[in-house]
Amino acid sequence: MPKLPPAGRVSTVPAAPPSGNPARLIRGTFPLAMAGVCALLGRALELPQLFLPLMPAVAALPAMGRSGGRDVLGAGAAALGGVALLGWGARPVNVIAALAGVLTVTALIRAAARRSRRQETKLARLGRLAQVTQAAVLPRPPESVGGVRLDARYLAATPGATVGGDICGAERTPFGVRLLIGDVSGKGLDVVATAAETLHIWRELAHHESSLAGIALRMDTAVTRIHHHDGFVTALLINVYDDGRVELLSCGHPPPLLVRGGRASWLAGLDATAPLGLMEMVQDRCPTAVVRPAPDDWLLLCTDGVAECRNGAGEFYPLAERLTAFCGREPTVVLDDLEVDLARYRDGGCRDDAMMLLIRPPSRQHSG
Amino acid sequence: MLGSESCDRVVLAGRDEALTEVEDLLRHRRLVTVTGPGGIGKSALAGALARRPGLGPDAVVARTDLAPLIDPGLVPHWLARALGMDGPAGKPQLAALTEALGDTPALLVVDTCEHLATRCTEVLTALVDACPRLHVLATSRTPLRTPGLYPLSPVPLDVAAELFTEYARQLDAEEPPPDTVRRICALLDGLPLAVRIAADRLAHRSAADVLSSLTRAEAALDLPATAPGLPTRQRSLRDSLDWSLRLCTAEERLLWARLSVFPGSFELAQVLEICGDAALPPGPLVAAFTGLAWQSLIEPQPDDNEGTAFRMPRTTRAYGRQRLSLSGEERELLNRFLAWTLRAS
Ligand SMILES: Nc1ncnc2c1ncn2[C@@H]1O[C@H](COP(=O)(O)OP(=O)(O)O)[C@@H](O)[C@H]1O
Ligand SMILES: [Mg+2]
Repeated sequence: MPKLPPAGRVSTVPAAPPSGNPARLIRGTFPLAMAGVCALLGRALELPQLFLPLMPAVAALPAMGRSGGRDVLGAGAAALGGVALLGWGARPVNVIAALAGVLTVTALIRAAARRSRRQETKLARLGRLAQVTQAAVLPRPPESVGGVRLDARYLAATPGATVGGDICGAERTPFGVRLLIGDVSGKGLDVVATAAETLHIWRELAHHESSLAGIALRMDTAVTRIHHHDGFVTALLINVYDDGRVELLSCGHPPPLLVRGGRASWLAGLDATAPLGLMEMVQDRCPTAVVRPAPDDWLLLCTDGVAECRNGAGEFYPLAERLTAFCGREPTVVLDDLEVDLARYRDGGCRDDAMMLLIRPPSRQHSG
Repeated sequence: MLGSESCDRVVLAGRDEALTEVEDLLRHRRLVTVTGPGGIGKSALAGALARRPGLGPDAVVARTDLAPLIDPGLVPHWLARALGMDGPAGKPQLAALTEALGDTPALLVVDTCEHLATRCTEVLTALVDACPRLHVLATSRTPLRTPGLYPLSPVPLDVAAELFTEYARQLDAEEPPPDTVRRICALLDGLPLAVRIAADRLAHRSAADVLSSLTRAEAALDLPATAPGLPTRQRSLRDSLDWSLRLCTAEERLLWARLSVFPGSFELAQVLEICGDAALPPGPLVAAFTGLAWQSLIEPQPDDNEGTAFRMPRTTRAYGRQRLSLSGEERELLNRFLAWTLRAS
C-alpha cells in the first residue's frame, strides 16, 4: 500500500498502456503473411478459386485483436494484393465477389475499430475522472499544518479503492490547528457521498466555530440531514492550541494512542459521547478532554477498521503492543511497518476501511 | 423535551389572566421573560402558551430547556437545534441561525435561562432584533436584562387547594378534607411545585399526617417528589433551592443564611443593622440584598403599602436557617436579632 499522496497532488494512472513495438509488428504483418501464403498455395496448387474466397477472411483478421485504423487498412491492402495474385486467370465472377467481400469487410471492421477506440478513450477518461474526484472530495491531509506534522495511511476494504467511509482532515484555523478523523457508517457509494459532505462541513465549521462542542453539535445536525437511512458518523475532533495543549472530543470514536518514550498506550480519560447523528440520545452532551503532550510525543488516530480489526480466528489486532514493537524509528517507517503488519493480520478476517493518522505536535524550543 | 410537561395530566390552573397578559406582552415586545422562584410554574405557563395558536397556524413553534447546558458558548447551538435549523456552516452559529430563520414566523420557548442569564440576554436580543417575525418566550429565576419582563406570582390559596385535590384524585387517594387541604396549602407559599410534592405524600399517608409534617418547614424541604417526569432539580424543594444557591454569589449565600433569623418581614435598614458586619459590609450587603430579590429568593411583603418590606418564603427561609446553623453563626445572629428587638421595643 503506497503512502497516500498529499492533498492537491493527485496521481493519475495512464489510460491503457501503449502496446509494445514487437506486438504491433506481428499484428501488422500477420495479414500480409496470410495473404502471401494463400496466394502462393493457390498458384502452386493451381486452385485459385478455392483460395479467393479466403481473402475477405484475411481482411477480417484485425478484428481478432485490438487494432488501430492503420492495421485494418494494411490487412485490407494485403487481401487486395492476394485477390490480384489469385485473380489472374480466374473466373471474373469469383474475382469480383472476392473484391467486394474484401472491401465490405475492411469498411465494417474499420468502423467497428473506430467505435471501440472511442469507447475505450471514454472509459479511460471516466476512470481518471473518478480518481481525481475522489481525491478532490476526500483529500489526504498535507504533511504539515501549522507546525503539526501529519502522516496518513489508508487501507480500503475493497482492494484498489482509495476512498470509503473513513475521513480525515487538518486545518489551520484562528482557533489553532484542528484535526478530524471519522468513520461514516454503512457501505457503498452513498457512504462516499456522505463522507465527502461531512468532511466539507467539518472544514467550514473548523474555521468558524470557537469550540469543539459547537462543531460537534452542528455536524450532528448536518449528519442527521444528509445521511440516509438513519446512519451516523463516529468522529474524533481535535484542537491543537498554540500553547501546546491538545483538546479532544470523541463522538463514539476509538481514543487515540499516545506514543511516549517508545511505548504506545490508549489515551485514558477521554469520555466519549454519542456518534454524530445520534447526539440527541445523550441530550447533546459533549465532554472534552485536554492533554499536554511532551515534546517528542506522538498521537496515533485510527478508525474502527484498525482499532477493531480481527484476524480469521476473531482475535483483535493488538494495536498498542504492535505499535510499541515498531517504535524507535522514523515515523514514516513505523507507519509503513504497522500498515504491512495490519494488512497481513486482517487477511482472512473481516475487513473494513481502515485509516491511521499519526500526528506530531510542534516541538517547542521553550517547553514548559 | 420538557419532562415536567410530558406526563402532566393536570390543566394549568388559575393562570388564564397570566396567559393573556404574557401573550399581549409577547405581541408587543417579541422577547418576554417570565420570572419567579423555582416551582412557581414558569415552565408550565410557557408550555401552555406554546400550545396556543397565537402566531397563526404556519408558525414554527420550538422549545428547549437549557437546564442541562453548562457552556454559555453553546446557547445559540441549542436554540438552532430546537428550531431544527442550522444555517450555513461557513458562519458562526448565531449568524448562521439568524440567516436560516430570516423572516419565518416562529415562537421559540427557551426554558431555564437563569444560570446563563447574561449570554441568553445577548443571544435572544440579537436574534429578535435580526428576525422580524420571531417571538421568544424565556423563563428564568433571574430576570434577563431585556424590556419584556413578566414576574409570575404564586397561585392564590383557592387555586392551590384545587390543585392539591386534583393531584390527590389522580393518586386514587382518599378525598382529603377541604379544611386540611387549605391549611396544608397555606404553608406552601402558593408554590405549585410544593403543592404537587406535598400531594404526592397522600399515596402513603393521610392528609392530617401531611399537615403535621409540614408544620416543621425543614421537613417540607426534603419531601421527595415521587411523581415521574420531574427534572432532577425539582425532585424536592431542597433540590430546587440547591439549584438557586448555585447561582448565588458568596455574599448572597451569606445574606440568605443570615436573613433566616427574621421570622417575618424585614426592611433593608434592619437588615443592615443585624446582618451587616466585617464579613458583609454595607456596600456588598446592599448588592446581595438586591441580588436575592432579583432572583426571587426574597419578595416584597404583599400587604405592605410602602413597598419597603420584604419577606422570605417559608421553605426558602428553612433552607437558609440550616445553612446558618451549619456555618456556626446561628447563635451570634440570634443574639443580634434579640438585642435589636429589645432596643426597638
Ligand atoms: N398553574 C398550574 N396548574 C397546575 N400545575 C402547575 C401550575 N403551575 C405549575 N404547575 C406544576 O408545578 C410543577 C412546577 O412547575 P414548573 O412550571 O416546572 O415551575 P418553574 O418552571 O417555575 O420552576 C410542575 O409539575 C407543574 O406542572
Ligand atoms: Mg422551569
